[in-house]
Amino acid sequence: MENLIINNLTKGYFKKKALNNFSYSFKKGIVYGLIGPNGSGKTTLMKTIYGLVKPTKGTLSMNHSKISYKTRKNIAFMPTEDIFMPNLMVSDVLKFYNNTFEDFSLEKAHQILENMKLPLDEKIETFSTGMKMRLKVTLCLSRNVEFYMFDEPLNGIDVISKDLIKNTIISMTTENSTIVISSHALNEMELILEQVLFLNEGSLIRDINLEEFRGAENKSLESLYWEVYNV
Amino acid sequence: MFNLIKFEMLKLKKMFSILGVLFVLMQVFIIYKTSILTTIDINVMGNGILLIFISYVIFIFSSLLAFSKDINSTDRSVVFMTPYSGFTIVSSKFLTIIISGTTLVLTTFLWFIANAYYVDPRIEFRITEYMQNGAFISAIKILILSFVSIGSFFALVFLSIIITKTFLSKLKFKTLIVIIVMSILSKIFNLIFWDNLSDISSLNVGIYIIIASITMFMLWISGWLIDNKTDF
Amino acid sequence: MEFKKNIPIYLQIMDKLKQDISLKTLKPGEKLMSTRELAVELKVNPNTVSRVYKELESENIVFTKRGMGTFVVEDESILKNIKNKMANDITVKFICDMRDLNISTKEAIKMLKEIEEEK
Repeated sequence: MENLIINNLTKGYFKKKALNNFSYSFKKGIVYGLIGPNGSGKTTLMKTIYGLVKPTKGTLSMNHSKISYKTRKNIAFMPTEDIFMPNLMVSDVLKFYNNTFEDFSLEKAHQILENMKLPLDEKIETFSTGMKMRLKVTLCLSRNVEFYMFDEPLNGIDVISKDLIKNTIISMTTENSTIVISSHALNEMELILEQVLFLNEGSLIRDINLEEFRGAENKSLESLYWEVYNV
Repeated sequence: MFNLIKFEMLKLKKMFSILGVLFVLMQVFIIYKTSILTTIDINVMGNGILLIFISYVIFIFSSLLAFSKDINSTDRSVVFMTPYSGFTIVSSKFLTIIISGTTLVLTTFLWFIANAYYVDPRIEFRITEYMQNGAFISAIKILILSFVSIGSFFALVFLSIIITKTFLSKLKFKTLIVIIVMSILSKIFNLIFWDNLSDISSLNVGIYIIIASITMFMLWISGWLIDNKTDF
Repeated sequence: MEFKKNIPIYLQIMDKLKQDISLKTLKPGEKLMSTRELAVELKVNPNTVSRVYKELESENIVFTKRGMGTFVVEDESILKNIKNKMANDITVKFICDMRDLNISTKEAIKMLKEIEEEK
């Protein structure tokens, strides 16, 4: 069952296109990996799906609705950038998310924050980079939607929190939800990913089912990465 | 919408606490001066007016700066990740400024009157005399006009910032670009609407409605750009 | 459990479960962990675990009762067969690997006997 359908998505002009004729249909219940070097278009793709970046050409639709601010009700996105205004406390942000998104679960958020040892009553500006990442991941994990996107969710995070995040992602996987993870840490994510999309300079160059690939080629994802990007 | 406005207000806490401290200090100063002096010193009120004026300038500047930072910084504000339309988001920021600005004006006005009365109790007589004067009506008209115009000014700045981010983001000297865009836009609006305004006595509700409509229109365009053209 | 990343994960999990079953670590009739629980424990995708259970069921090693879970079969003879088959697979692989080194089966058996005597 396909939910997100992207057709000929292009972003940018002339030679420097961030996305170049990208087409793909995402299916429910699968964990996708988005792989590629910096500048290959992973973040641009995710942002376009979330409606933050507007396409130059092409169409995107989620369950037959055109992607817009409205489709954010069905999509959860964890960006790499900092999204918190200074002066805010964690509890303020949680309250805001709870009031903004109908599917947001405060209990789940509290549970995850507690497991990651993040305090509720402190100002976010005092947080380290790792703590801010963990908070961002928590906000995305606490939503109950059918399409999740995580842009480098394990960056700058300690081993224990990484484990927690991975476990939460694993337990969140249902038949109805789609998860897209972009990551440089291939060996960390390799066992969770099912279908991997390789991007380069805005184009989709490979679309691999990992288990099939392992069975057919007896190679790992990492060696495939070297193959694909070694020019 | 209410949710957004509440959230925007959180950002203003710092600025208002600074202003609050300034006014408290001024108040202490006034009380001190009036208690030790035997003659009435009107100059103190002059300083009061200056402080009020400065606080307005600070308010306008920091509000516009906050908006610009929100739209332009590479860090993404949470507000633009919400499922609200661009118009709703911009309007919430606009309303926050209007509400807090009006509160600021009213509070400072009352503070001034209260202190003027405290410094020189004879003021009360002069105020009631003034209110029976015909010039009072004109003053009110000018006040409402300024209020509506400042509102449209904010909407104009918002729109200019958004246009700059959407189409002119590759250029340098953002602030200068924004000011140029603003001037062009205001020239366009002036050409269309303001040629017909003659003098104050012809001020009627129609003018207010026109300006308010222009303001709404600018906010609407800003929202449309955010939803359809602006990359965050 | 450590996984080799160049062999299908589901096969490795199947082997591990078969091993547990033959060694009676998992007893006949015992309930296996739910797909999700096992996925979290092994840190793999739940769909991979689903596939494992499905394949094991098609080999008649486990069976699924709707709403109740997945269980090891009770039939001891089937379970004995698993052990035998696994042992057979290992032996065949050993002989093939040795042949790749140009060591004949006869020589390989001689080497085995030598190692056994050493122990």
